[in-house]
Amino acid sequence: MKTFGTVIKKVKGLQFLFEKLPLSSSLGRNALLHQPLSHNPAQLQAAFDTVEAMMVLLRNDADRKIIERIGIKLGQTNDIHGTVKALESRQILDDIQLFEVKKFALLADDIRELLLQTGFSAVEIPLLSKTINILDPQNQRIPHFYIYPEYDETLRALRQEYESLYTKLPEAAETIRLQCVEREDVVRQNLSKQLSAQHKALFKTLEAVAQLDIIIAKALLAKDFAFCKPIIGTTKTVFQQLFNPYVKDLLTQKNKSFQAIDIEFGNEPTLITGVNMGGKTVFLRSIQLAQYLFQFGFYVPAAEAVIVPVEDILTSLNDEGQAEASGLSSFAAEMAVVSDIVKAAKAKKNILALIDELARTTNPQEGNAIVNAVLDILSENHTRAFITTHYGNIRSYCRKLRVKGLIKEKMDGVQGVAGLNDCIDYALVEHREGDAPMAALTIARILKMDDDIILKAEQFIQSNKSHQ
Amino acid sequence: MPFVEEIIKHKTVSIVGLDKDTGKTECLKYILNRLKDSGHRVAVTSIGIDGEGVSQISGNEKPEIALYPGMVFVTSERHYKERQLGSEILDLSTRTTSLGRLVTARCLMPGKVMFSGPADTVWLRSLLDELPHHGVDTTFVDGALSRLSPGSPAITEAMILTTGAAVSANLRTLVSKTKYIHRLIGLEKFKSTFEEALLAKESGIWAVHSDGIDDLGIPSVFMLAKFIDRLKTDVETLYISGALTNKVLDVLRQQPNISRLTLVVRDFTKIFADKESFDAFLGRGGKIKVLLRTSLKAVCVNPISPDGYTLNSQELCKRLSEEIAVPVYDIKQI
Repeated sequence: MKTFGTVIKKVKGLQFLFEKLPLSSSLGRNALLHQPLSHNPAQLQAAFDTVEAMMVLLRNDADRKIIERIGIKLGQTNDIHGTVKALESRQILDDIQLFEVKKFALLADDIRELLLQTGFSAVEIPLLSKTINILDPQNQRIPHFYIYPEYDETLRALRQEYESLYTKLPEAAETIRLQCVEREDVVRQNLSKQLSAQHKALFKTLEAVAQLDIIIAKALLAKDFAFCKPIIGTTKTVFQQLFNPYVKDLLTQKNKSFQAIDIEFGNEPTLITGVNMGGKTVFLRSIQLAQYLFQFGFYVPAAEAVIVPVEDILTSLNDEGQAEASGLSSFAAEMAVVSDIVKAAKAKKNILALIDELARTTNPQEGNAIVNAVLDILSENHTRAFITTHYGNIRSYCRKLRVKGLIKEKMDGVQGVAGLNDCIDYALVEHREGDAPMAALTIARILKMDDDIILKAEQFIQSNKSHQ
Repeated sequence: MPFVEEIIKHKTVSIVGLDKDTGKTECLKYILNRLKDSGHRVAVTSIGIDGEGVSQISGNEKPEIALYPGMVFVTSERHYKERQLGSEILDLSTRTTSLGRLVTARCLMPGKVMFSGPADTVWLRSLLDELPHHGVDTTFVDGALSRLSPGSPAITEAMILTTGAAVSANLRTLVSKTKYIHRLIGLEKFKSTFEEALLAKESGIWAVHSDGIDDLGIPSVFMLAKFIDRLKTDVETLYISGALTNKVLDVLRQQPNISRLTLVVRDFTKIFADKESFDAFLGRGGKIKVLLRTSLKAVCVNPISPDGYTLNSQELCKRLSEEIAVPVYDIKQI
C-alpha cells in the first residue's frame, strides 16, 4: 500500500515539500508518514475543507496567535503510542511511562482548551480529565511526576521513617527504602490498572493531536507556496497555472522564473513531444506531484485545479540507477513498469500513468513501434496517461501535444543553460503534424557542445537527405 | 574550602579529570555535601557515553553519588530506573543516548544514583540552558573519563581540575603534566574585533588581518602541510577552528615568519598537542592564544593511584601550589 512515507522516497518534489512542512510534533510527522493514499472523494473533500477552515483562522490575527500557541504545545508532545499500547495490554507502567502519560494528557488538555477558543470544530480532542486526575493527586497541573504520598498513607509513613534514619542509621534506612520500593510497586500497579481503562481515550487523543498538527502544517504550507484548494472532478482533470514548487525553488535560487502550465485531460492517453530541455519531464513530475498532494489531502500547486482521483499513479519517473541496482538494463526496467501499466489499463483500473520518453533506450524503429502499441492499448482502455517522446511519426490515434519550444526572437546570442531557460516557451499546444520537432542541434549549440560534434552531425543529416 | 563559595557564583561548573581515578567523583561528593543545607539549588549531570564504555568494563569507574532532597539531576532512563532515591520526574528528553532518553528529576528522598549524560557537548550545552527553568542555581557537570571537553568555556563557566597519582606515580611527571594543562588553561586571551566572527567558524583555517578575516581554503588542519603555500608570509595571526595537534605546530614551526606568527584557537580544549611540540613552537618565537579563557577555580589532587600507590600528599600539594595560581586541595584530606 502506498503511504506518504513510501511515496516521498520516490518523488523528490514531495520530499522537498515534506522538508518544508512546518509540522510541530513527532506525532504529526509519524501519522503523516503512515497516511495511505486516498481516492475516496468524501474523505478528500473533508480534508480540503478542514485545511480551508484552518486557513481562515490563520488569516485572523487573534486566532493565528492561538494557533501559534497550539503549535508550541504540539512541539512539546511526545509520541507515547508505545506507552498507551502497554496500557492496552494491561502492563504495569514505570515512573517514566507514567510521567509521559501525565505530560501528554496535560498538554492535550491545554491544546483542547486553546482550540475551543478558536471555534475550530474539524478536530475534536477528547477530554482527558480522568487520566489527569489519576496522575495529579495534588491537583497542581504541572507536568512532573512521582509516586505521590497522597496515593498511599503507608508509603508516606515509610518515607518519613527513611528520612529520619538516613544519616543516623544507614542500614536500617536501607531496609525501609526497600519497603518503600515494594509499596511504590503496589501503587504503580494500581495506577496502571486505573489508566488502562483510559487507553481508548488516549489513543483517540493521540490521533486527534496528530491530525491537528497535520492540518495546521498543510494550511501553512498552502499559504507559503500559494497552493489552491482543489475541486474533486469526475471526468476531466484541469489545471490552471500548474507549477512545481521544487523546480520553482531551484530556479528562484538562480534568479529564474518557473513558467506555469495550463493543462486539461480526461480518461485518455496524451502524447507529448517537444525540443530537448523543453520541460517535458518537469511537466510529468508536476502532474505527478499535484496528483499525489491531492490524494494525500493537500492543497495543490496551481492557480485553480479540478482533479479526478485515481486508484494509483504508475510511472517510469523513478530514480535513475534503480534499474542497475536490481540487475536490469534500463530498457528491461522500463518495460517492467510499462507492462504493469498496460496490465492495469486492461483491467480497467482507474489509474494515472506517466511515462517519460517511452522506449528511448532502444533503436528508433522498434522504439517507435512500442510507443504506438502502448498508446493504442491505453486509448482502447480509456486510461489517463501522459507519454513523452522524441520519436516522430507516431501514428497511433491519440491526443498529441507539443511544447511550444524555442522563441526565435529571443535566441540571438543566447548561450548556456541559463540563457536557454529564457528562450523556451514551455506552454503545451495541440500538435497535428507528424514529425517531432528537430531542434536538438540548435539546443546543443546554445548549450556550447563541442563544435565538431554539431558540424559533423549536420553533415550527416545533409548527406542522408541527398541519399534519399 | 573557600573554593565552594567561589564556584557557586557560577551557573555551570565542570569537574574535569586529567586522567581517570583522579578523584572527580570524590570532589563532586565533597561539594554536594557542603551544599546540601545551604539553600543553594544544585543540579548534577554528566557527559558521556565514552565513560560508560569503560565503566561497563571495569565496573567501578562511575560510582554512585549521594544526593539530597531538592537537588536536581539528569541521568539516562537506565540509570534512573536503578536509582536508590526518591525523586520526581521533571522532564524527559526526546533524543536518546545508548542508555535511553535523559530524565531530569528532583531528589525528594536522599539516596544514591548513577550519572549518565548527553552524548555530545552541543546537547550538554542545551541541557545546561534548560536546567535554570527548574529552579537550579548551579549545575555541576561530572566530566567523562579523560575528557577535557566539558571544561570548555563554551560549555561551562567555571572548572575544577582533578589530578593525582593515577596520572603518574612519579611526582615530577605528575607536576609537569598538571602544570602543562594549567598553562594551556592560562593562555592569553586573543582580543580582536573579529572575535564573534571567529567563534562562529566551525571549520577552516582563517587568516586574521587588521581589516578582516580570510578563509585560507584549507579543508582540514590535517591537510595543512599540503596547502602550506596558501599561508602568505604577511599573515601574522591564524585562527584554527579545529584541533591544534602536534602535526600542525610542527608544520607551522618550519615557516619563515614563525617569530611573527600568533596562533589562535577557540579555547584550551582544542589543544591536543603535547608539551614538546607546544614548547618547540613557542621556542621558535610563535605565540598561541585563545578566544575564550577558562575560569579554573581549583585543582584537586588524589594522591592514591588505582593500583594502590600513594604519593606524599603534602609534598604534592606544595609542589603544585608553587606552580599553579589557583588553590590546590587534597580531596582525601578535607
